[in-house]
Amino acid sequence: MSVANLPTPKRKKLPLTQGQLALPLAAFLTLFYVIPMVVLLAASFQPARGGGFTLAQYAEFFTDSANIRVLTLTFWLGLQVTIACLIFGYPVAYFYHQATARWKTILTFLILLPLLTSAVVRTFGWVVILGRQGLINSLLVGLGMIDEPIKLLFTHLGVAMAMTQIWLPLMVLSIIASLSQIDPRLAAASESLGGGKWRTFWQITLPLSLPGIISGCLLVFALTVSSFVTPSIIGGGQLMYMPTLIYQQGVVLLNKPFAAAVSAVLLIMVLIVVFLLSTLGQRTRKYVQ
Amino acid sequence: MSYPNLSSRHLQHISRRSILGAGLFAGSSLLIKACTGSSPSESAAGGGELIATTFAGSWEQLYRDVLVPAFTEASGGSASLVPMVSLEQIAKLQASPQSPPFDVVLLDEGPFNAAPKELFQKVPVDQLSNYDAVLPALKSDEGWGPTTGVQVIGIAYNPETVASPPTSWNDLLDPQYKGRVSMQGMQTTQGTSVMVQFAKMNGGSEADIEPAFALLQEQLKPNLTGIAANSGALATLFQQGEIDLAPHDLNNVISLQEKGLSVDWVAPQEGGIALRPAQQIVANTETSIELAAAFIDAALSLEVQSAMADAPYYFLPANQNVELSGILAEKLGSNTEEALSKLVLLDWSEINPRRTEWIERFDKEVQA
Repeated sequence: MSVANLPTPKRKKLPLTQGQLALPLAAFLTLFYVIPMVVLLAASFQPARGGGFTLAQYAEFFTDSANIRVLTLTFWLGLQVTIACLIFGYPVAYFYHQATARWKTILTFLILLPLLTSAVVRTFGWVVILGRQGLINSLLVGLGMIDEPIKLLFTHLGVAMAMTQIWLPLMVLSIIASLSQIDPRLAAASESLGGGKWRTFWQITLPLSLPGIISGCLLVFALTVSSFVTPSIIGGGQLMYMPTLIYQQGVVLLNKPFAAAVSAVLLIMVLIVVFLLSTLGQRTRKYVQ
Repeated sequence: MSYPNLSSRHLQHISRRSILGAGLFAGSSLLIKACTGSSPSESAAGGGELIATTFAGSWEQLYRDVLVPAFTEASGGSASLVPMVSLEQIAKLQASPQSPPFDVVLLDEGPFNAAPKELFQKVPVDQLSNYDAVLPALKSDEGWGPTTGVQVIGIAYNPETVASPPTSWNDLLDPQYKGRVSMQGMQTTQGTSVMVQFAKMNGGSEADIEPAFALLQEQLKPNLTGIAANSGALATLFQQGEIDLAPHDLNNVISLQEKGLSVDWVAPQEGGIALRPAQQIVANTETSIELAAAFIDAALSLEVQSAMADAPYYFLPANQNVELSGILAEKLGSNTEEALSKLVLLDWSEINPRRTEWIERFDKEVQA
């Protein structure tokens, strides 16, 4: 798969080395990201009162079945929303990729539209949609598919639906970026060699767009498991996810070390997923090259 | 043809320096802002500035439209407002006690009672010209700031779906409202108050919540469609016809009613619950105590307190000289003293030591 003969922009030698250019950002991140992160991790090894080093916070987290349930529920939510975003997002991105320039303008607007309102406003919109007399229930009852309104608000399903809509644009944009990097001549070549549309898609387009799929999944998963507003309003107090637990412990109950430990557990969960997906990404990148 | 060339070279020349300059300027001004933003500004010309917290919603509106103008007129000072719930305010104060981010805070009695007292300083009541007008029951014995205004929790209901208005807290447990009730969780003052009230009605007390938890499992939970995250979520649930009954604040319900929502409010026969948020002066503030006292004094003035008792705020005033009228008079009586006699006051000093445990237990027991 050669991309070498594509015209590449000529690079001028930069007056500064790239390392030096990154210094301001590095300083900024150290000050406002790395140091707070170290403080957070250090706090998670402290006992609830007084100083010292202890693993008690982590022990407390993993010995309480309620906390484990919160962790698994959060993981499931992340997984479900990521898969749903992928299933709904890929066709949109593919359609965008194939569309004419005029359609692309319209589609860009439509894809970005949800990002233009805040998550809080969209969440309250979802309360209206998911309610007993909301859009979904009125529609299903009106069509005669159900007799009684089904409960969507304050359910895990409702949270997953709202989160899918909220993070969908990020998945679509990642996949579009990846699709637009595919050399269109590859598909033409495949067709001229007798590959049908489906075969071309499965063997050329889909594998080459994997980097975009992976980065989209990463974004959606990480943002979903760390969302606070939507799960707390749609899920209510009866569905607890990790960010709600962190808020509850850190701000309401003032148990900072435990909140720090819960944050660290959430961080580790995200890091594991990032690691798995980026390993997968490395492999696919080899394929793309 | 040379003109565009020249201009583009000129542009390039400019952009490198000016972008660097602009970047440095923007960066440094952000830094300066970040540094000064957290500490109160030193007194400027005139009466000085202070940073006051308030609760989002009606309280913020009252502060912005009535209290701050009254304060500026009386003292010449200016105030900037930060809307934030009590617990978050205390968390912020604890994070930086030496240079606190606020000067005057508005706190619910529960969270204030539970907070370490070294975060605050006593209010110099001799500097408050309106202190004598405050109802004695709303003053602090220990010299802290008096109650600013009373919020009353009763039962909000939808008159279109609830045939006869509820009369008792027990109506929330009536099986006919299965899946039609909501409430806020125990991490909110409202949720804790309602649970303690249920305990008290069933042989418990501020120190013994057990009866309320028994009730929660057996009778309340089947009726609950969900636990609302905050009062805004409760409003949306009423609006969507999702719920028929919920414990809620009188002032919030009236403001929903005035927006055309089908919702009304009653004080249950066992008594509505009175909440007494109060303003306190933060310890180690850079602003002067006199200015902070002037702000609290303005909040207790007849002018501000009369406005507070009227549309669109509807808090019970702390100033006993204010005559109640309209909806407040109809629901609670002709003045705050009469209203308080019909309301329940909870002992937060008994509740607070146990509250952490209750919140965690409540969250576990209501899990779907």
